[in-house]
Amino acid sequence: MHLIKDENGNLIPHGHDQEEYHHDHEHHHDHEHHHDHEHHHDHVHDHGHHHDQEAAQDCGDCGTCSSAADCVKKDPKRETLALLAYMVQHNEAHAKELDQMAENLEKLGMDAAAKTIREGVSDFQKGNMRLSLALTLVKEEVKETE
Amino acid sequence: MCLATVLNNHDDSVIFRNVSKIEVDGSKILLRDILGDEKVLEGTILMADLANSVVKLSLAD
Repeated sequence: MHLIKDENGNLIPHGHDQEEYHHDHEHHHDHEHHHDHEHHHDHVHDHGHHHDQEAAQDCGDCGTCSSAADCVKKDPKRETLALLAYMVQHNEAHAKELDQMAENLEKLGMDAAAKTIREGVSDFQKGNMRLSLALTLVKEEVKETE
Repeated sequence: MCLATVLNNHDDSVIFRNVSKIEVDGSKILLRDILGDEKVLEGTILMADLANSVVKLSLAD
């Protein structure tokens, strides 16, 4: 795994650990819904959705429903937060794959390509650090509006 | 793998966006998006294009 270090050789943390995406807040369910399956909470999400089919809401062309009665109005901030968190984590996975690819290329004797990929991964992770920062900013904004 | 957009094969309309999980139980298809919202539909999965993050369903009438 290609890691980013500062001038003293110390690792610069980047991305988020899996624990970052676990719930640290309470869910208050004021509605009933029957789940015969598990919820795997590995990402931030909002329990503002309703399973009540009679909750006719103006969906405002959310693009995810076929009728207003079937529509769940999503909080755009929370949706963005969830998407951004997903992308940061997903990018980490891609960075690891690319790093492995570089390693494989080295074994195949393609050192120049391997080196270029590692440089690309480094740039990629710098970009992902910015996304992590953006994620922090969005989280703060969402918390403030709760 | 990226999140998927689930389409109705009949008319290519969007059923659900940012789908992170699809579960199948017989003819029931459970879609869950990144926010944890879920939809349960009757039908079959016709196609899953993972490179383009598109899944097409054939829904029961």
